[in-house]
Amino acid sequence: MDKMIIHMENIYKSFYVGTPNELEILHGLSFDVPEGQFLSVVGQSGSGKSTLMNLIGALDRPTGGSYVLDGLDVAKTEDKTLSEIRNKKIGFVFQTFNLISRTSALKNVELPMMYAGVSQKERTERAKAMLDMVDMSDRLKHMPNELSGGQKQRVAIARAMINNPAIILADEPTGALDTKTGRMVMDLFHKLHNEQGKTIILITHNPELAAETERIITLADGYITSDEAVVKS
Amino acid sequence: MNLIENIAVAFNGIKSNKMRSFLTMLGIIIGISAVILITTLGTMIQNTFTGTIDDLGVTNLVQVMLQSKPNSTREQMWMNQSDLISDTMIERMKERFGDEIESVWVTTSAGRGTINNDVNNDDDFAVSLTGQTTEGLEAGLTDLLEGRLISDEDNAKMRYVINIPSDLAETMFGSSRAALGQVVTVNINQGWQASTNIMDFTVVGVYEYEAGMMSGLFSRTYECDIPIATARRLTGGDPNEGYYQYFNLIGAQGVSVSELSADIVEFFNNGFYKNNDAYQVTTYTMEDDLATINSALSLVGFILGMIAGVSLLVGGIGVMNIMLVSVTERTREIGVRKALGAPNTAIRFQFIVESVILCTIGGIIGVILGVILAIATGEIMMLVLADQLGGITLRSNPSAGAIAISVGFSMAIGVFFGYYPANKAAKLDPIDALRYE
Ligand SMILES: Nc1ncnc2c1ncn2[C@@H]1O[C@H](COP(=O)(O)OP(=O)(O)OP(=O)(O)O)[C@@H](O)[C@H]1O
Ligand SMILES: [Mg+2]
Repeated sequence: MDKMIIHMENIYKSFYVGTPNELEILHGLSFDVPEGQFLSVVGQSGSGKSTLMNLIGALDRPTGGSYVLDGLDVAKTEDKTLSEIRNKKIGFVFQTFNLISRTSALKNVELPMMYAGVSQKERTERAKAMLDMVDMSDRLKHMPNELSGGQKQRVAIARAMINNPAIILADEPTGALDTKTGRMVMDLFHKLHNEQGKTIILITHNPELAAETERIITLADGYITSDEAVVKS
Repeated sequence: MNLIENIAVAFNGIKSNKMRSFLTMLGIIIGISAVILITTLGTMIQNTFTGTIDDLGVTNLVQVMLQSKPNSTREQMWMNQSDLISDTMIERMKERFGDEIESVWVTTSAGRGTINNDVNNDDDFAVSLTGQTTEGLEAGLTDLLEGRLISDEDNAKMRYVINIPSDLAETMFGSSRAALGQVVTVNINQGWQASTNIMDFTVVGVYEYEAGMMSGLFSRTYECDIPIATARRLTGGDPNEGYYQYFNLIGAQGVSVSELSADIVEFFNNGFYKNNDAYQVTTYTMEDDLATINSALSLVGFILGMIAGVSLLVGGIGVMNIMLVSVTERTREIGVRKALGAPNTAIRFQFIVESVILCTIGGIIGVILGVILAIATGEIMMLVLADQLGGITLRSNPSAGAIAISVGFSMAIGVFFGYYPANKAAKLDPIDALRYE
């Protein structure tokens, strides 16, 4: 049996909008993710996908239930530990890339290592190698506003990968890209999955892309309505 | 946390918002330059003053002078010979105070006029003649270059000998040495009514003339010294007894000048001037001068200090304001950094560094501006006060200590006023920050 990198049991998430109004978004989700799985989460807009991803990514704590990430009980940890988890175990890829502006591609990729306390020399070396892997070594000194969308996303993926995280979380990473560049980004995920055995959780509205992954979890109104392995033809 | 990285980020931010950053720094710039101006001008004036006193070697100088009594009953305030301070009184004072007084320095003006030498029959030069004693000259301000000072014997014999300044010697005779033994003709036409207007003097000594920076601007009156007894004879006074409106004395080493001058005032006013219906003696010391200058300085310092304080406060608040704006503008960036694993401390540190850099640049510009202003003010003061300064050079040396403290203080302002915005940034919820539109 594979090691479970994510263990979610009966996870609730509520927001408090206005004083008495508790708004429950996730209603007791339970699922496990084995190490090295490429998984997609689909569902209608507003179904709670991003909310779930924020919980998985330790950006937020569940209001109820238990979440164990790579052996660590996230629900009970303090802020400082959460940022350490995000730094070392999670790599985020966003729909809008979220590169730090006025900061070169190289420096963007170095950033997570800076927070991890890696020396400047090693940072530069590793960042260059990672940018080489995403085929961006000829754009090291470019600022985000000097890069195309696809290029930005590749830099963002390099940044997400740089601390060798256990999981890559990608929230609609191709949403802002045309089909062709989207394809390139997907290929990169496949490469990371196949060659490095990364656990990847992909949130997408695109059923075709979801079908490329190993497992699809479908959310509707804060409930898991289906959780199926993809049958490869 | 990486200091260098954060500094680079801070510089980036400042560069991309040059105008805004500059305007933000303005308060700090004005405040710090005011601080530098105060301290530099303050030390400049103080140094110049004490430096001058040290040059003269007369820190213990006391001027004793006549002053009209506040409740004088005399109808006309003409000064009679019986009102003046006499040699006899001074002798008695010396006996009374003994070792406390190092030397006494009396002078008598013999008037102003012109001087020339018959040999070349050059132009006349403006001159003022002062009768001196050997004791006075030895205590005094002048450095003898050639020959000798007016001697006691010159006084005893009422000789027509003269000490002239070196620049006059050079103009008239080519060099100080060449002037010795030469005869000069003096024509007194202002001052005490002289019995003889035109007379010859033999040059026996040449003293060093120290030119001030501005002396070229004014036509020079050469100050020459003759025996005091000769001066008295020329001005129709008693050749054996001098009478003075004022005289100087120098207190002995280690004697408190203020106590000594109080004792002297009491000695004269309870003795010789007790029954004088119009005049009494008062004293003036270098310490009084220092006190006056210090109180003027501290007033200027206080005003500039207020300006500095207010502009630093306003500057600090401006920095805080712009940092709050910056935090808001970069909310999303803060969210991203947090998603990448930045702990709150790193975010707080980043914004404090930015605020400190902003203030430090402001502080450094302020220091430069302050130094320029201080030097300029020094130059202007020298121009305006050339007469009063009498050729004293004002040395403006911005102190390294003040500069270090100013820059350090601007850094502290950066930390103080940057803390709140930085803390706000650090405390942002990562999701709220990432969702910020
Ligand atoms: N901070 C919040 N405060 C209040 N409500 C929130 C907050 N975040 C999310 N929600 C609500 O939770 C619900 C789920 O939002 P979420 O962003 O997870 O949806 P999603 O599935 O990612 O949708 P999309 O596909 O459009 O991105 C929405 O109804 C949203 O209004
Ligand atoms: Mg979403």
